[in-house]
Amino acid sequence: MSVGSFTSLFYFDIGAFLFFTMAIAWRKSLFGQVRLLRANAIALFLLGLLSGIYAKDAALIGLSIVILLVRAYGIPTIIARAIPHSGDQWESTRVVNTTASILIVAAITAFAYILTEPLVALNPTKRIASLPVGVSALLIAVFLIVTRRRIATQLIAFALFDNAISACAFVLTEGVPLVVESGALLDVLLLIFVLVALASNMRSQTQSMDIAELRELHE
Amino acid sequence: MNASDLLGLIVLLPILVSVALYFFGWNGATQKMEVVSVLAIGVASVVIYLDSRHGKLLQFHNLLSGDALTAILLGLTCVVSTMAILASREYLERHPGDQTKLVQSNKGYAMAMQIFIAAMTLAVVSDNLGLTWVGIEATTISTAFLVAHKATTKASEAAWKYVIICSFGITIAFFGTVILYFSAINSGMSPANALVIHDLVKNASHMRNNATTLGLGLLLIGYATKVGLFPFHTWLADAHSQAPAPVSALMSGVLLSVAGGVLLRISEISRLSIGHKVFSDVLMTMGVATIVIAAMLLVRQKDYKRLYAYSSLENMGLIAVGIAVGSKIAIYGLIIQIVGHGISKGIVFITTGHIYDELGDTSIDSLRSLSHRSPILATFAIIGTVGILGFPPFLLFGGETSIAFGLIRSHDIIALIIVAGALLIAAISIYRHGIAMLFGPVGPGQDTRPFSIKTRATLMLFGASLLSLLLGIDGPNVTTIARAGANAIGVSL
Repeated sequence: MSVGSFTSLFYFDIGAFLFFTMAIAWRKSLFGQVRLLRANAIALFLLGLLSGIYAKDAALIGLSIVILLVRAYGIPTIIARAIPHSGDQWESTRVVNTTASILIVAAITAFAYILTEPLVALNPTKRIASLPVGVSALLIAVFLIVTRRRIATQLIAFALFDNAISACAFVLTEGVPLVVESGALLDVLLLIFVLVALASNMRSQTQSMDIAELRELHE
Repeated sequence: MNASDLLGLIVLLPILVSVALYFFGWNGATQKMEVVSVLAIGVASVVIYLDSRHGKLLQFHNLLSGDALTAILLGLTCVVSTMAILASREYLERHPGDQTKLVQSNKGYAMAMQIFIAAMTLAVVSDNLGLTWVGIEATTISTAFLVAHKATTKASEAAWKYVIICSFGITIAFFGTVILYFSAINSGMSPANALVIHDLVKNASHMRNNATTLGLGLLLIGYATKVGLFPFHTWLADAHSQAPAPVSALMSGVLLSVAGGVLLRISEISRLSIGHKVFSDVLMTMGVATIVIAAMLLVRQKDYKRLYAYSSLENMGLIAVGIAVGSKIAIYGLIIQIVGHGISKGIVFITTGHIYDELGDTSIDSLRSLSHRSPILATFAIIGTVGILGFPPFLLFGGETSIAFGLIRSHDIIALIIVAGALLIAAISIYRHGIAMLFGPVGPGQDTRPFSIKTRATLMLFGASLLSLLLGIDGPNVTTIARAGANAIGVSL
């Protein structure tokens, strides 16, 4: 693969990664958000795969396949189980409404370019020039965690946050060492599993999937 | 097998015990295995300490290593884990969960406890920032089930907040790890060594750049969340108060300090790369604010488990201040503080567990005249509480005064005044609540039954109290060990 075609494909893919992240801020259907999370993780898998093929690194290609299995299949499937199949399947109670969310997401993207300037300047290659896109996705995920009140949306935002960090790792360093990435993947998978189990407990105890209801322990 | 293999073995052993628990259940044989797995951590602690005295650093590939600081943290892990495992037997006998559900069953509880211990041990012996992250994140996952073990609405809420806040913080730390890795590679380190803590320390002087500052800043935020520092402290009291008492003992006594130990390692990289001031100013602010917040929340506390949870917050704030000062005496003081706080907090949390089992309530108002209702539990509550208040001869007296001297020598007089004032308020609050619970008259209509405690529980608490006292009295040896710990992070006394 030539440098030119690698760069074009890499840029296109990381752009798609950001698009799916932004679309989650807009989408209200919880199952729709899970589908976008899956698409986001597939874009992440392609980032790893492209980097692996370009660098002729079999370990990186293998890691990408694990990412596809864990982040694009495993985690969205587990999160989908936390969404009630009967009843309210919509993100209807947002702290920030959809229009304001889209505007804030646009502002976050612009801010990410300013924030990452010193890092990009440290090693100004074409791959690292796409770092602001990864950081935008990361900040959008933080915004979603802070402003969404449904347990399922928080789980989706959390998974997005983790995908965004992995995307930044691919952009910056072609991924962290395999042992660390494997441990991180296992941890994230288990973490989502734990959160879904806790969400299921809370739903059976409080009949609610709204985190604003969690107020029994306030001082 | 050589000594270095011990580092891997002590991580693997609790995992193997949890597998045995899964297949054979929680019975006499597997209960013995639980104790063996934590005693092995104690043996490793001694071996690592003895090797470190000869200037030898035990290393297991580029992943694990053991120096004197590792030995101290492993020793603490062994002591408090043994206490927690023995206390868990009483807890599970009194509170058998739904045995048809793995996460609520005795077997599930014991498995999660072993994985929790393995994860903490991994975070302590790890010489790789990535693996340290894996260990700390694994502690969150394993303790989530333990915090929610009582299966009440409050316990589920506490577990949810704990997992969301801590995992969010720890994920930020992962981003910091990636950026530091990027910076190390750009500074000429090989990718294989770019996350190895001892290699990062050696190479730190070549890493003076913006990426290092950003990476270390994110690591600070991430691990500060796990330590429970302000403004990321909100999960701590909820999780500690809702978790079963043995789990609270382990979380407060060891987990917070293990995360503090990671901050200490990172501070060394910071000191040698971007300079101490950037990192220490932020950490000092967070530490002082944590102590002040904890003192304020202690004053109007109504729940005795939350009272001790906020006391942990106050102690973690002090440890953060010690790291921020970064001088010889402050690091020595915080190591003493970590050990003293760990053992004393283990004693008080396990004692509160026995009180709760008898009383069925954790409100301070519901507990009166403990000295009459159970002189034994009252004695352990006094020993533990006096220990965490920092009265001589307990270790915290030496720890707190050393950190205070550190503040004086670094001319941080304003910080010293604020910290001393907040500690005084905290001590008065704990003393006032403690006196009311121990000697306060029982109100009309309140239960006056005497509390019972099993002999084996009494013996365990007696042993821990004796150890706490002996460590306080045995000044020369404790000083030597703490000095070795400070030397391990490049601060010689």
